[in-house]
Amino acid sequence: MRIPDINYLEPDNLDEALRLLEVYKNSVEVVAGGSDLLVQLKNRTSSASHLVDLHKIKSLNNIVFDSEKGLKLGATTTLLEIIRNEVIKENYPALVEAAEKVGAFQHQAMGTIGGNLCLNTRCWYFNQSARWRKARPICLKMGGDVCHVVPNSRDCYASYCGDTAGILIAYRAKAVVSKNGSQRIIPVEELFTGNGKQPISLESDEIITEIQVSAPKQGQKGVYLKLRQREAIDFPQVGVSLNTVWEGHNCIEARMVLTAVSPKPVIVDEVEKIIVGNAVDSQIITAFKEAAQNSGQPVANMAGGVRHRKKMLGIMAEKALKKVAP
Amino acid sequence: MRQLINLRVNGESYETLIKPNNTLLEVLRENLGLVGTKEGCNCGDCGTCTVLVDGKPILSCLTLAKKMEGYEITTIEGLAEGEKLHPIQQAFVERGSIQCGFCSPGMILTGKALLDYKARPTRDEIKKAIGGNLCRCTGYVKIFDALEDASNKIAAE
Repeated sequence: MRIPDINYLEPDNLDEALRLLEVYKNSVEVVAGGSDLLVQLKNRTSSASHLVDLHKIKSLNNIVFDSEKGLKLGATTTLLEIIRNEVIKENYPALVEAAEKVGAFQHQAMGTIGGNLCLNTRCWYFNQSARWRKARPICLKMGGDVCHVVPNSRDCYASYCGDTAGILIAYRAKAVVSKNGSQRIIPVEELFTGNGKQPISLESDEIITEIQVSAPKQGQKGVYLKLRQREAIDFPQVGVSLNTVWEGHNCIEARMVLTAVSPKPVIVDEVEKIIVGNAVDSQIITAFKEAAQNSGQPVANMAGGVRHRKKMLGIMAEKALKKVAP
Repeated sequence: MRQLINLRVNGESYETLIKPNNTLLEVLRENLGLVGTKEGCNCGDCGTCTVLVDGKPILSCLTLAKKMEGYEITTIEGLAEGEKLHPIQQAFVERGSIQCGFCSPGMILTGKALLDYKARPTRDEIKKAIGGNLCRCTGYVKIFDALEDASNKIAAE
């Protein structure tokens, strides 16, 4: 499988990159690490004819931390740079945990935080070569009118499988989104549409330029748990991200996010009502498990049985709570 | 349209004509004749095509060749010094960590990236680092052993 002919562009500054995205809008893809996009080009699941590569733009690759203002991550900061950064390890260990679980060493060296957030949704019937897909009617995600996973569905159920999105949303992080001439700052959860076919809310002439995470609070504890077939390479079958803040044994803040069980990361709203103001006891744990299990709707679009993944939502939610509770 | 690019590979400069859609793997093998880097899955799932770029392990099947101008690329051919094998290569030979040899270049280079960063990794750290390099022959144990041996040898030097 060879990559099709493309117009490959390497701007060395952000303004030029944004101008190129505007010029080639709707036929352009942005590439940073490229470990997902290049596979899509080989599989012909992306039909972009222009690539704008951000690797020469130094201003997008930086890590700035202030103990009061928090963390700013340039969008092309690699996952390996995050993993190896002592300040991030100390202040946002759950983010490091999530970055360490992406793929394997090579994917972490190539992959970027912005790229990992903007990962395309995945499905057994989509992430295949053109030749494989030719044997079946065209699916919803590829512009056809059939879903091979949920019969008669009008919506695409491809799953969002990025590893770092959950914990960033749990941290209530923000994304700086830039286009030619303007910039906006949105909560990370607003990057995701919930539409399996077009999962990322960015227009084709917009990119994430920075991720901002507020300063860690006293008593903050977070965790990212990932269910996958093997200990490396694989995307999640279930992802559970939990961030909490404790005063003594009482939880004063909590946010749990599920990934790989929906076309977008799912914030489990009831978690705050269950645990904030309380210490962890068996009733809280049971309520936590139920809330997680009821919030994720895995479908048969990846390895691992649906019932197993659904059950694991509850088991992993309990595990996550026990890991963070004092 | 083909374009001329300059690549630094194993300390030498190469000028070669490529198309923008050529991957680094294709150019290393087909243009430069450096066939030590192997094509496995061609989609980033096996680690066979691993090379080092500025010391970091990357999947050459998922990297555009044009992108690599200005970086220092190390392939398996660049490890030995003449007839003298790199300690990791020597350890692989001595421990019997090579059977068909197809995963070995990628495996050794990923191991090198780890040992260049951390002198004496634990066995768990070794396992984690080479998690992205699949081997169908050896069952991995002798590979872990070889990397431990190499790390001890390098640290002692």
